[in-house]
Amino acid sequence: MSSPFFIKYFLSRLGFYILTIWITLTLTFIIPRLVPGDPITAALSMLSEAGALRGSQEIVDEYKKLFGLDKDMMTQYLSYLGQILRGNLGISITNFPSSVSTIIATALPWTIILLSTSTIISWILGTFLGALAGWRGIEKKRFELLSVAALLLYIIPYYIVAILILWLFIYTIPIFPRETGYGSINLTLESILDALRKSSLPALSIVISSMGWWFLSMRSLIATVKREDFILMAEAKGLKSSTIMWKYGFRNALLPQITGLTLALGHITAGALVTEIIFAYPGIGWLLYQSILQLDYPVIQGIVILITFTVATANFIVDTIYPLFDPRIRR
Amino acid sequence: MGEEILSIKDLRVSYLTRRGEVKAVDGVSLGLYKGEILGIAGESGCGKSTLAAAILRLVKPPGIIKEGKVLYRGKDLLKLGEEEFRLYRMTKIAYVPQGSMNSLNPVMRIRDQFMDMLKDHGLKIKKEELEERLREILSSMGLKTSILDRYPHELSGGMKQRTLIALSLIMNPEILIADEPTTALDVVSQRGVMNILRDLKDQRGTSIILITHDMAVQAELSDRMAIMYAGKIVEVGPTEEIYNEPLHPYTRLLIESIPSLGDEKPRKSIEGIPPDLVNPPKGCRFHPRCPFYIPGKCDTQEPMLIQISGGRGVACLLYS
Amino acid sequence: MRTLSIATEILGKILHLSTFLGILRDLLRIRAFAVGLIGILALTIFSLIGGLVTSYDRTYAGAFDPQLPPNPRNPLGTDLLGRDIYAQLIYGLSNSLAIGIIAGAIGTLLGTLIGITAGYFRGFVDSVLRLFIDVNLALPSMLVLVLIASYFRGLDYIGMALIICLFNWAWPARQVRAQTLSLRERDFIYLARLSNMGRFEILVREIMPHLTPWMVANFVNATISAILTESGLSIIGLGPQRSMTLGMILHWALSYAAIYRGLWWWWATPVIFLSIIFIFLYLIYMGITRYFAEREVFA
Repeated sequence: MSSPFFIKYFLSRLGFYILTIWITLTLTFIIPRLVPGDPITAALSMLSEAGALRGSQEIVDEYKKLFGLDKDMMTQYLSYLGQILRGNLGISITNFPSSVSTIIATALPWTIILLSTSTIISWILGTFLGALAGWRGIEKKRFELLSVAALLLYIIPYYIVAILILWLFIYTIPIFPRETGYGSINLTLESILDALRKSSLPALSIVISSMGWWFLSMRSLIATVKREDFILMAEAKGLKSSTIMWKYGFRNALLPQITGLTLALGHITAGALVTEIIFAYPGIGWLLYQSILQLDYPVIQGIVILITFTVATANFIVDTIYPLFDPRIRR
Repeated sequence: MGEEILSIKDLRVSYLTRRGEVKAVDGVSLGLYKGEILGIAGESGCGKSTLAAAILRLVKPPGIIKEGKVLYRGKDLLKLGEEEFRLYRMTKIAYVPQGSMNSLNPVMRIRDQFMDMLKDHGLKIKKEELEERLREILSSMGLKTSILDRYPHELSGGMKQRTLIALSLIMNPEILIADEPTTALDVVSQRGVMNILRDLKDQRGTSIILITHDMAVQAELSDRMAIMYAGKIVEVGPTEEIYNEPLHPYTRLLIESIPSLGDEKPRKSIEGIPPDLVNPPKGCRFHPRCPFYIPGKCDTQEPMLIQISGGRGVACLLYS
Repeated sequence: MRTLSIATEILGKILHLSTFLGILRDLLRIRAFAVGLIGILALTIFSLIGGLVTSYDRTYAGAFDPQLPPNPRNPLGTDLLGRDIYAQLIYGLSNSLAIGIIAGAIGTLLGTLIGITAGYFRGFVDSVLRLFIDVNLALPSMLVLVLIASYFRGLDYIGMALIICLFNWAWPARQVRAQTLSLRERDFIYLARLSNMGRFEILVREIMPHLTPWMVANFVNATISAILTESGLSIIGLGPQRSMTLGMILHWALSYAAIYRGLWWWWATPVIFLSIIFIFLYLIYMGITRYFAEREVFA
């Protein structure tokens, strides 16, 4: 692990990670300022047009203080960066004086639970079915059908699957109640059951939507591995076909399938957010939707920063850990 | 000569491609006797690797074994059930593949690649006995037991080849099929492998089918030889006799192509192009390249493999 | 003068009708491509002709009675505000396709140019461009677009296409760069350099034609991604408020709880048409990749 090759690799990944974060923060700084006028006034003017305003002078003063809007661009920028790195994401406009961090913190656990369970389930299902299809696929007709289904699911956007499931299970067959986007998590049984009930449909939707990609990816990886010399040798060794499929085929196809997670993470997150909106699930996606409606820019910005940071960190961690698992890279 | 332990009768293996049916092995009959090294020689594409694959039932689509028998101690291996035959692999008939660069599982340690084979064959041995057997077989290959904890990419080409040979021998098979065991190696490793093969025959009494186009290796190791051309056997017999007096024109050209020290001029290679196995030449398949080609005869009649003297056979119209 | 002659030559090569038609004919033999292309053409024709039968004021609120199921005057019914859904579909369809194609074309062109430059000139230029590409790919495009679109509301469909272009060029750029890197080592490039061709000339005359398969595949891919992005943004409420797209129709349907009100014609229309757009476009993409894979162009 302390080999020079690995250190160089680690440092380059680290550097790239820091660069991505810095660019995101810079973008979130610049974009609001591209609108004529200063960002707060712009937001407030739009709000006053929509007729929803409360404590406006206080908000403006608070922001001017916090972000030094009266000072020049560079000072603003540096103090902005300083604030963010200290974890201060600003103050909400619509829910003044609550801080953005507090608001996001109530929605965040919902999204984390939904996203992680759905991704894990769909990855496992998709990978295993894809492995079977890729290994035995040529003979069985039912795997052909599965492949077409997977392709279809891959093509259809997340929100369409979500709409169809919503329609099916809430409107047509009312197994589930219509959600209002309100939810709080505490440790009572009732609250936990409520959380489970709220998350089952969105989870189902995300699993169905993302499973297709895992299936197709694993299927093609295993089909490639199947043609390798060591598979033929495994057969010549008189190994059982299950041993060959799992220890020789599956295990070799698994590594690139795991790295596939990093590439897909951004895509799945976006899909999950839109799914939350369709189901009025009280997570980050729903919060984003509400904030956009209510023109609560600090919250929008806070969410963008948070998600970017999370996805970049997840990618960085996987990039760092992956070489440890592949014996071929481990030098 | 001992008893005949493997008997191949009229084997035909083809590849069904879009261009047509490639008759890779077209009516091959051969016998392997106990304790001998039988060499199968011929240029690339003559069908020798397909022959090996067929014996081990490793022919993959679009290849298909069309007809024939492979009798091992009386049983037709081609007719056995999948599971039944699986147990023969490496225990009775072992295989060392060609170009061993990628024949080991990249994500498993060497030790595990021995163990899973033993496990799947239901071999129950005590741990100490197993370690001893591993150590013994590895050292007979010139390998240290430390390689057991390594991954394949940490071994050199020669080490990998010897590991594969160890893998093939650990269950004491009666027959070993070695497909181009020396071709991908450097000269020193080649010598090592050749010594291993020779010792196998002399000390363990293993019967070996040695497949290689390298006529020098054949000359050194094989007791008997079969020369293949375009999916058929054109000459067969004791190696020494063949080298002293090659009967088939192709055999003669093959032997003449072996360079030796003291050559002043470069050796001649065989003229012409390899035959098309979808539409092979009419009559004798070698006739387009044969220096003794008899027009009217060699391009119409197909020569059969005829016995000349005890154990010597040739398929050429010069002798019929 | 030289540039002008090269430009006309590119145009000539691109519009080289006979080879183009030949390739098209071979492509059409692949069923996926044929079905996809016919599908998209059918949709385009439908949106153009359908526009003749209807007019834009049918999409104004109050034009008809609200919440009407499909009937002879409103083949797809009306929504909560009394707008004709068939009319919305016609205009929405053409705008959605337009955004996709415009964003797809610009993104692919931009990406190809950047990729070629990076791949051909290598060295410092390549390092810089490669960093741009990697960072762009690492950023969560959807979120940055959310940020941009939330501050710049009131975009029309062209504006939408342009901001989408900010992110869809990086993937083609990376591919084209990799291809250019390997192409530039080939013998014919060496010969071209020996024959004293200018570097720019080599890029355009020798390398670009070989990149056509990738450019075409990337274009289809970028179009799909653009329509996906636009519809996603619209649903969140950040779509082109001044233009009608399928995504916007869906947005209104969701905002007004069309599903719960049982107004299936309202939400099903954009859902169905978006689905078939994606399916057809993807079939075209599969057809193209299969065509080039068969000719062993895609390694």
